Amino acid sequence: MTMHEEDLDLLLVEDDPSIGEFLQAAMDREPGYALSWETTLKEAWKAWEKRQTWEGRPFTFILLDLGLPDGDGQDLIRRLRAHGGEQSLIIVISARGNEADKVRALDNGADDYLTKPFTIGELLARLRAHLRRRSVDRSTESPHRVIGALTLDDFTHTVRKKGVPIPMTPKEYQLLHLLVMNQGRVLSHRRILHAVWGEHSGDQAHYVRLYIKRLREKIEDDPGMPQYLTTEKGVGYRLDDPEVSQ
Amino acid sequence: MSTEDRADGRPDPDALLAQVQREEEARRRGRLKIFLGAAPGVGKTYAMLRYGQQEAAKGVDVLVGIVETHQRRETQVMADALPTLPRARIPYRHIVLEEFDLDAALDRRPELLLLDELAHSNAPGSRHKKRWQDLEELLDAGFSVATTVNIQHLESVHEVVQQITGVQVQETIPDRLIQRADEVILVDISDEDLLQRLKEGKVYLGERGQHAMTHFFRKGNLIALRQLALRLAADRVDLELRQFRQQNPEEGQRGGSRDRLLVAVSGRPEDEHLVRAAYHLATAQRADWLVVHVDTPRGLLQRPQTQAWIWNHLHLAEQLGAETARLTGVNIGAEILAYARLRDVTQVVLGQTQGLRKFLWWWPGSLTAHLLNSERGIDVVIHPLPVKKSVPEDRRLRNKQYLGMVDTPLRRRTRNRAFVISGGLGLALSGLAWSLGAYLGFAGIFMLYMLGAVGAALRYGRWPSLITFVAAVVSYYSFGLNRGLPTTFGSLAYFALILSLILLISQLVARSHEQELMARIRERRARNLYQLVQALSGARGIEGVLNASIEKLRQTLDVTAAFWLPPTDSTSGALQMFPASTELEAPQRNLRAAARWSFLNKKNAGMSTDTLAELPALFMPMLSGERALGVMMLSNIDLRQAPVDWLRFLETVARLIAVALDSAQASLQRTEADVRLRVEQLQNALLGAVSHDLRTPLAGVLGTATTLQRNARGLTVEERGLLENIREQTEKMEHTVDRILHMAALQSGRLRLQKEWVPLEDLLVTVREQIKTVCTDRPFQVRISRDLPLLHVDPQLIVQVLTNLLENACRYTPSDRGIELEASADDTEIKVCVIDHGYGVPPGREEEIFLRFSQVKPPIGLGGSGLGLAICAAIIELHGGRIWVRNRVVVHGAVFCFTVPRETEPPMPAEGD
Repeated sequence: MTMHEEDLDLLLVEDDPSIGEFLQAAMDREPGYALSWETTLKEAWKAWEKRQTWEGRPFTFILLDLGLPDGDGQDLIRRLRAHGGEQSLIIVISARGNEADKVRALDNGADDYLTKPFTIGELLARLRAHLRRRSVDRSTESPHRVIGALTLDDFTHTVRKKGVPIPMTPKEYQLLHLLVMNQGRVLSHRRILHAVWGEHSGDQAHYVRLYIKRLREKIEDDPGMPQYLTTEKGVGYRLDDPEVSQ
Repeated sequence: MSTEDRADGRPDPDALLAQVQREEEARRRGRLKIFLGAAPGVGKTYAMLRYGQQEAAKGVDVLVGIVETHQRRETQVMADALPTLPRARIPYRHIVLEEFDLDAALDRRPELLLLDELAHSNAPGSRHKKRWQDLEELLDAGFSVATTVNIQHLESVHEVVQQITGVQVQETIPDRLIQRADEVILVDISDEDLLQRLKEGKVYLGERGQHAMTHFFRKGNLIALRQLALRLAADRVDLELRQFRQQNPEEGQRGGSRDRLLVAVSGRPEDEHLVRAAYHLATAQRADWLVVHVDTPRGLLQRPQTQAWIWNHLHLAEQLGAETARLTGVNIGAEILAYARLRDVTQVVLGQTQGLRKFLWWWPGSLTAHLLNSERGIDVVIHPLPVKKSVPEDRRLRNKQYLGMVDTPLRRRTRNRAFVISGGLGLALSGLAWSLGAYLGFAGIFMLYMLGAVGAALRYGRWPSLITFVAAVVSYYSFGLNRGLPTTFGSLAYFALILSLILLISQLVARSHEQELMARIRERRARNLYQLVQALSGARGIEGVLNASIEKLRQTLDVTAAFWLPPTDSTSGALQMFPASTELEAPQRNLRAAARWSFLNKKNAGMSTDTLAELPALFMPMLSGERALGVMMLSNIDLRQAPVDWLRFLETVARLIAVALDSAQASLQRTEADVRLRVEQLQNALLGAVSHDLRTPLAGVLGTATTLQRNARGLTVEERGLLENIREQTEKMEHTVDRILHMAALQSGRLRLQKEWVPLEDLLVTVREQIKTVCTDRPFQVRISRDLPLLHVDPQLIVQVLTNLLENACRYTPSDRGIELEASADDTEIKVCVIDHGYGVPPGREEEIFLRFSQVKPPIGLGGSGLGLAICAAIIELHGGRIWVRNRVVVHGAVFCFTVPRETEPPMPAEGD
């Protein structure tokens, strides 16, 4: 395994050999990816620290399994986020049925999750989408945001679709704006609720779903098969650029 | 609540509270309507039946519990028009008595029950002695009852009636029933009319008709009775008006404060008059009244008869609606005064002192003086009492039987022996004095006598002591006149002086003796309770508590205890006895009935009570707060040996045990909850482990297969196909594992719904994402009614249901035909239907397909796990909805529908916010 400067560095934290081995094999065959594989939290933390502090070359992605022999992956997420690990994108790998864990991981600062079992194609597509988002994040400083056919003007708080203005209530705009700012990232219900309606809005949990429904009716071509505002089952919502993610 | 405090005109909060409680009670309890008459034959039963018919015409479910028509035709016709409860047949000494069937009435649950002749005494062996007790049970059980009664049967007036008419009234009902009645209807006809009816033979008089004719139905009597009835009715109207004013002070004058009367009773039979007088006084003044008895050390040594009378008076007072209490102390006056102050009593009613002491009321030690001299302004009413009360013999006997206390021969013999021995002692002393007289001298002899008298006082009390002294002196004088004893006036005075000295000393000795005795009893009781508490606190578990109680009760009180407890999982099931066997002779069924009654009514039953008194055991509910935890059954009690306040002492014991039981049960429940929690944790861990262990290898297989596929340059087409096969099969297996785990979670019953308010559209987005692979590009039509409310469901589970239903629809429908989804709501539920154009469900299997591993072979593609619909059914059931399938009628296809309850929606965001 050779390492190049321009390679994307991945840190896999996974104790199960069958998954570790296939990912190792798959990444070895993919050009431009370099994977380091650790099986415990302790080793993972050491590897990350070494890269971050000594080599100044942080991992681009961290693929993290939550159930590890020496502890809960959630702790690592918190620790990474608390120690300036913003440069690394954390993607949680977890089995179906553990939606609550996923939500917690997202709330703790993870960027995305993948449900086991997944194909290597899904993983690569997900990685690419995050890389694109990141490059967009870095490039745009203008108040205008463009996602597919949608344009958001942050000065006037107006939304246009293919140039046609879409009327929005302030809360609808606020919600859309939040999603746009986190394009490609899964936002949990709770996080959306707190960001838009405030910390003390526990009894308004259904507002999120209602407003998502309204937004879809306004911005989607077919609200029943949304292209922009997709649902992450049991976890939350994500805004995607349909032209990029296709 | 003294008058001064309440001078501001505000209604007494206690009274208001009582009012609210009465109303609540009335709602919970059944309504009581009493048809009151002055005498038999005024038409009470007729009036009641007419009322019943009126109610029945309004659609009320009226049932005749029991009606005595006395062969009066009009009444019979009225009664026949209403459904009648068959009478219970109670065998009694070779004959069969017909009685009102309480249990049948309770089972039948009518809305209004008609119960004639409230004062009737039930046949021996019935649950209650009196019909009015049946009535109370019915009311407590929430039944509404209409009943009839004649004025002479009222406890408070029956004596007056007796005095007026000279007829002994045997059957009485407590006055509180009248007070408790929601309505009292006075059925009144003039005495002339009644006599006329009597002459025409319209009034049934039974076998003693002629006697009654000449005695009871005299015009004078009838007028008096009618007056009594009218007065009672007027009193009630007055009371209602007053209650109305209390509730609505603005409607009339201010609601005043309540006076409080206190009556002190002793063990004299004539104090019964005092109780009745106080009742009338309290009713007239609309005052609360308290009846107390003060137990003094001397009282402890009273004859059981006196005790019986005290119980009788207090019992009577309770029946008449008083609050009763027994106080203990040495000084009666001080105790009464202290209690009166404590309870804000405004008036104390005392009976006139009898005998010589009547003239000593001013004596500083007397009760009257004590109260009169108290610094606080309490009115004292001295009520005159008849000198000799003629107590009907049967009544006296009843009272004695009531507590099982009769003056036993044994006791009498003990007392007589004490007298004989004291007398003998006196004679012996005389003899001694006679022989030693020369050495002792006059003073010495008297000293000797005094010694003997004090000794007797110590041993037997004051009267024997006096006997000793008198016997000694008299015998000495009669034998020893010639022995130089002075017979002058001086010596007689000396004798009198010594006698009073002895009286004083023996009084002191006896009193200290009594106090010691009382202290001993108290101490023993406290020790008993303490031992019980100790035993209970050391007991583990419910059984431990019960065993400890049985053991301690046998050791300390020498009674045999058993317990009746409801089954641990609910309070409604049949009571179970602990220990399971008893050596009592009564049939288990009767004991159970008594225990159940006591448990439900939270009152004592069995021996020496009013309910099921024939049973050889006493039943006491074990109350913890307001809750009955079970019933304590005590047998082998000798109430003749019972010291004062035994019942209350036993009630304390029952409460103690109840508290211990309560905490034992609570700790049991805690343990159960702990175990459940641990089992749950274990199950969760197991499911989690299984889920992990099954899924992870699958993830590995799938990942590896797809990796190989991506870099398939070196592979043949065939090999690529094989890889694709691996991928497909793995995905299918993953899907199946998923469903099995899902089903296991649902089946375990531990799955808690995480309900949220969601729009159906939001769920459908997820569903359509999930069915993409099965329903590729199939026309999909959604019809959701515009005003469909939010669903209050567990979103993930309902997504699962919708996904399963839609995937099924796709599998069983040819790929060119579309799928439809329809959603609508009515007031109670929200209905979602999935409509396909497939082959439908085989007729007759519409229900079976919702069972586990049941499957109709799909015509195209692969079959599922056979769990999909079973999971749907389980999820919908958890939500409290329904799921079903029917085939379409005109065209091919099936319609799967499910419902979830419609719930009150949460607040919606304001428009445009």
